[in-house]
Amino acid sequence: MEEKKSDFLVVWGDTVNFKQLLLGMVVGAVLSYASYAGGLSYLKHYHPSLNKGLLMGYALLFGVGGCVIVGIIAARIFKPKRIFCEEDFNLDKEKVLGELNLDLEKEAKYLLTTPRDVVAEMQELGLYHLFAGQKQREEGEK
Amino acid sequence: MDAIILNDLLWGLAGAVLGGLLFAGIGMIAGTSETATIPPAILLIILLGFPPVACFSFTVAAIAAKHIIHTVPTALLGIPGDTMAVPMLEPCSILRRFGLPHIALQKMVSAGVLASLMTIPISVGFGMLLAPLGDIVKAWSGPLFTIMAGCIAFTSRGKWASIMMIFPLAFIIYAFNKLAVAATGNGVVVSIVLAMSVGPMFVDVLSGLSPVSRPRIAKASATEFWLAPELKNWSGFVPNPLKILTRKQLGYTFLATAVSAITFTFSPIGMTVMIGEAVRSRVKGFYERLTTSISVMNATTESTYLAELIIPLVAFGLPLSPIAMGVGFPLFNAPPVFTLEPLHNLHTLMTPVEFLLYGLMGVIIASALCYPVAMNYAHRASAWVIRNLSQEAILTMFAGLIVVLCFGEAGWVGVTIAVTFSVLCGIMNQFFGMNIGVQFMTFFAAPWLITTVLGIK
Repeated sequence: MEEKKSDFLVVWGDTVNFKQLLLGMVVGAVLSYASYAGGLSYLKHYHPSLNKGLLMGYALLFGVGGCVIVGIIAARIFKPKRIFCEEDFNLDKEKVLGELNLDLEKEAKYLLTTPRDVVAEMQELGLYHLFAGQKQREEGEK
Repeated sequence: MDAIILNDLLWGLAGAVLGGLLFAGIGMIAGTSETATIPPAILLIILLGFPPVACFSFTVAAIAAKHIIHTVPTALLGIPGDTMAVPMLEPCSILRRFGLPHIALQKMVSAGVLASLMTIPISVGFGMLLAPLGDIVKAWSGPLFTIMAGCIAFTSRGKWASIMMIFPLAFIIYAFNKLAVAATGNGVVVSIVLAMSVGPMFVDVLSGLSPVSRPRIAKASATEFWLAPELKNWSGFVPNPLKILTRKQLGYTFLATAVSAITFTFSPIGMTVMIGEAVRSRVKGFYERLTTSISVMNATTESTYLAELIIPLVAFGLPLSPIAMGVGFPLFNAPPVFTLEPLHNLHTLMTPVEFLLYGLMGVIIASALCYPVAMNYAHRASAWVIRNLSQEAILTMFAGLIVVLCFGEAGWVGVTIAVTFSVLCGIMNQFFGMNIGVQFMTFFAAPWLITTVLGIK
């Protein structure tokens, strides 16, 4: 079954199928209310000795339990409208460096005053030579 | 006596574990704002009858966990984990392009853990210093809230529009409250606060229902999510957080923590941006600048949040900061359990020593739960969330939660108020930039503002 184009909407920062969302929210609201109200009348009927605060608390617990169950069911039925991609990291660091428009001459100069622990970290990550040894190349590009 | 202490300790521990676990899970879901998700959870445990210390350790653990785990989507997916993570997005995405998402993640998480640990004693101490001013502050709280609403409004995106809307919004809040009193005998707090939190979501849904506004949120295709690959650069189960940060980064983290305690009335996101900028201008080299700024910024997200919660709790018992007003709000005012008039909330129920003890408990538990998870399972967890947890399901649950909580407070009147008010608040937020902080502040200023200006009782 193909989804219609116009069914995608961005709600609270993520794409949703609007019909599914509305259905979910209505059912979620109704069932959660039902579990709250059901819980309350069950408690009133079978545990009449509970004081009012505790009664409300337990009824709330029923309601929230309802929310969670509806949420889990919704997650089963409504699949995410997302395209999942995994990056691979065969990337060209030098190219990225070029795209960032950095003043590499200055960067090389900064490296002279960079604390030793940072330099060690950069060397470990293979970044040090990238900033230290590119002075000439960058001048050529300018 | 010993039994009482043991009982409290166990409750505190349980609260912290619950808060930490719950918000480590929620943190994995990109874009789940803390202002929308944490207050309902706190409210819930308060209404369920958790003792004060457990409510406090729950809140602290929830905040600490959320701000450790929000770095996962930020670093690995390039999507801000929540609003507080937005300033870190750009430096993170640059590091990601260099193939260093794991470095970004480790730096942010370590700084967050350290900052949250340091913030607790600093905030409790600072709160005690301010406590003698408490009586003056309490006497002037009405005008103070109004002035602060004005200040926060001006720093919000809406500027003058936000300021202009303070009075009308206060008027409506006041009117709703009268209505609820007439219908049920009690005022509404939960319904109003929830409405403010979920307003923007509700406005999106409403936009979808109207052909006029539908194009605003329409999208041709599903969102693409790019997950960075898994990279590990340490041996053993978890790396030592102290070793991940350089000496300068540790220093700045500490400094940022101290500064955010003193500036506890400022907007936390504003502080994060400001401290990030300050560090960026002081650190020269490209790599060092990026890594230092993200560490310090994430440290600030933890420290501002916790300090802004703890200082007003310890010192005044009145919610006099944007966070106390928003995320921490139920700890100050959640009738019938905690009330402001008369003052009966964590401020009166807990001693500074308890704040220190249970605060540290919350932070330590949250870190112990989240640090290894962020280091070892970040990649797998993000992939699972993207593949299995649909936005529809999240909002389904939310819809249920709102109905249950508002109905519990004031029956159908509560639900109606929440729906009506959330449309208004969402529009103010989305179209005019009057953010939730301003709205919360207005909520507080409302009784004084309306009775003083309009002379009604």
